[in-house]
Amino acid sequence: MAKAYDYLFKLLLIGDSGVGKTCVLFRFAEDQYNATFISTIGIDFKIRTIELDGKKIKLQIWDTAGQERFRTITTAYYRGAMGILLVYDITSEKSFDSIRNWIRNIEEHASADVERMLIGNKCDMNDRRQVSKERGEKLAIEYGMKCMETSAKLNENIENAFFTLARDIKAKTEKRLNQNRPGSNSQNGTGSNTKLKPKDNGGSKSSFFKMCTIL
Amino acid sequence: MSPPIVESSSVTVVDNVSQQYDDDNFLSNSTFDVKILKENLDEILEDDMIGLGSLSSTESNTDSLNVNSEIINRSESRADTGIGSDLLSNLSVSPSPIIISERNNSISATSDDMSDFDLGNTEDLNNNLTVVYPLSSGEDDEENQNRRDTLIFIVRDDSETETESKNSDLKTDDKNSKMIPYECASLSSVYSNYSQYDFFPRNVPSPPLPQGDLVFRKAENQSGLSSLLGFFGSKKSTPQTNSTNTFDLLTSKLFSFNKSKNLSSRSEVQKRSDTNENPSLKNGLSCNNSSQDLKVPDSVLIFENRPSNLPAKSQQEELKHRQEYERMVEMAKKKEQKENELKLKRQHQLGKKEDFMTNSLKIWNTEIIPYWEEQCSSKRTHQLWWHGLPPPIRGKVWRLAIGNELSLTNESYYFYERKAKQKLELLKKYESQDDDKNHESSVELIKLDVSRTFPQLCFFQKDGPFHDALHNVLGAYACYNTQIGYVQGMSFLTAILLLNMESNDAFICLANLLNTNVLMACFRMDQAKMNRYFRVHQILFEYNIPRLYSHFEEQNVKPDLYLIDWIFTLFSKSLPLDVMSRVWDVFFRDKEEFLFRTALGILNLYKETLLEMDFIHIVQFLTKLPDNMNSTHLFKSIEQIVMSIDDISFDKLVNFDS
Repeated sequence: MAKAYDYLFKLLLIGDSGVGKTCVLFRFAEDQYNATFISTIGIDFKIRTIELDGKKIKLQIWDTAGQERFRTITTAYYRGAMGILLVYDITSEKSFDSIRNWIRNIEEHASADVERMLIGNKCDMNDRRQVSKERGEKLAIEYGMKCMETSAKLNENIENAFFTLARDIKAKTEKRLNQNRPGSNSQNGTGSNTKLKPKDNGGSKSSFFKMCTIL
Repeated sequence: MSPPIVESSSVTVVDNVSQQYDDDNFLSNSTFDVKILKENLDEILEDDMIGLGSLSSTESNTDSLNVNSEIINRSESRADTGIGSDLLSNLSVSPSPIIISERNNSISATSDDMSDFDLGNTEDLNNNLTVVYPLSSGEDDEENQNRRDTLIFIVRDDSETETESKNSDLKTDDKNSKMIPYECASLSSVYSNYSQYDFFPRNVPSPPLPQGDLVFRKAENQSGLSSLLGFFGSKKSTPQTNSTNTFDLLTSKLFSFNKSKNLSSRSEVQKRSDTNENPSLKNGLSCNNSSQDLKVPDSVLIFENRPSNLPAKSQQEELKHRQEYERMVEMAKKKEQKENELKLKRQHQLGKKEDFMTNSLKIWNTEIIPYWEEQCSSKRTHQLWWHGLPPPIRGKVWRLAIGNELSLTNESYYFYERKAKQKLELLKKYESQDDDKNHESSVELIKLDVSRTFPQLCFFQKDGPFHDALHNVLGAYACYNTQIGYVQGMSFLTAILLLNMESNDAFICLANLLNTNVLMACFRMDQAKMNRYFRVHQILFEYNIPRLYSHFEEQNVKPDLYLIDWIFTLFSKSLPLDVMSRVWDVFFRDKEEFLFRTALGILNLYKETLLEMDFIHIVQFLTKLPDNMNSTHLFKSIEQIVMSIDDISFDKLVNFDS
């Protein structure tokens, strides 16, 4: 029987309380926006299946409670995650400062090759901005991840963020599959790893870049 | 034709209908007088009231009621036939809404024993609703007796559709319980089928829902039926002109009348007494109806109403259409009957529950609360408690049951409330002072969460009635217990407390509640302790519902995926408010053991559904339980859950396991 999807990716949303993790997820999974969401206690998740290069990818996205106290609970879910979206609120300096703490958490609890992405949410509220786009980008480069400013309210960059992350994970997964394949494929795989640049196409460039930083 | 039989001269409503059919205004010009042959009723009822019927307070019924009122009105206004009563009987209206006798278009309702039927004095009636509750003859008498609801429904014959409703004796109950759902057959399903039929206008509007609790609409101006009739009456110039006639045609067609029928319907009028001391007073409202032969060939309906500019249908086509049409009517009738049965059942349960709650409230108020220390653990108290506390005393009993081990006073609340406010101001002044270690900084977080607490209720959002109170109580607690501070989840607990008591009491309750074992472990994020509870949950889960347990194991559904949300908020996030309230009631009786029993009860209740699901659906289902969950079903399911294994109690299991 045909499977409903080719890949299942588990993603995780983390970030301070109130930065809009649930809104981002709700926008992506249900294409709806609600200004007054009920606060997330513990953990919750949503599903959306997307299509990338002819492959069906089921995204299982976990939404976590933002309060620091809940980290002891939520970190248990880091391990299974293949991609993590670190969300801050561009109108809150504090939420941006916390990103470093969240990264430390990832380093402690998540698997080493997890894909990460920095999300500056609420970019529709430019008049109340406290964190410039450049600062976000600088931080992202420092940790070797992509960054994006989004607005769940206006549906800006939400799709883009999840699709980009999914594409990176897919590229990495397929690369690993190729590596594990016996024979010439495997040689090709290792070859690409040592030679670094030549075999990469546009789509997986960033992921390739990321691989380098991890290695 | 037989005259209305007035068995005893108790409640007789004579309705003299003078009919003035007018092209423009079909019903609003007809005048109706009601004479009530009972002294105190004369005072109550005003001259311009036209009808006697009963009404439902439930939304789902208003639609059908609307239709029914039309039926009554129309049937009243017919001079020559008893089609109205016939119609009602054919609609399988139960309980029959009104007793109609056809001679002189009078409505007669009689009561066997009017002396028992006391409508109370007029003063009461000014504020309340008198309910004459008619019940169908097919009702189980015993069940009827349990119901003390009566409803007299009086409609003014104004063009403004207005309802005069009074309640003689429902003083103690809240507004919602004043009216008892009245069941009548709904024509709406017939409409919808009808509108599919080829000679019907496609855009038949559905009848509008009456606004407010009691709106008894006149037929002529707004209903979908009248537009249907309008269509049918197209032979004459104005749609409304002939509507009575066409209505009869329609109804005779719709409900395939027997040509002649003697109808005798019996209703019971029962008096609702707020004390429940009197046994239910049973009054027979009976009346014999007979109807004149109605000889309308079925074909008339179709022939008459086929627009003249269209060619006539072939015989075959006509036959086909008629068969189709009859099938539709048959189906509609069946559907209605089913719906009616269901509604009736629900309505009975509601009535029973109400009576129980009234009784229970009295006992709580007079026999338990004043003697709390002795009574709180008595068997009877526990039994009453299991069925949920009556809302008016809920807060009081919660306070008593939670107790005040911490010896907090109102003064301590005001002290910490002030402190929280100062703290917040300080934070505003010196923004972003990093004091992550000190959880008092979480005072800031409260602001964010207050408006995210039960957003659907609109109570706690900015400018909502409880916004400030919720903010203050949470702030006060964060300052009182600086070790814990504010933790997400607390806002839900406090919100529910605030719905039942004042801020100061809510603070005292919250502090004492969070001082209990399981909540303390949760809000301190004491993982070791929490895991211990989760482990015991798993043990009891396997013991009670082994099949589902192994399914969960297979699907890798860990208890923390749903238990964290349930326990942190004491089910307030995931259960409907009424069910949740009852869970809290019993939680205060049985303490933390009941939380886990409820959790297993929920799993047990949805066992079959969950067994069919995979990981994703299980977790999503459990974090958002069905809105229509019924507390009776849940508590039946909870009752099946055993919380001790081999005489080892829950508490022991929790401590034992360590």
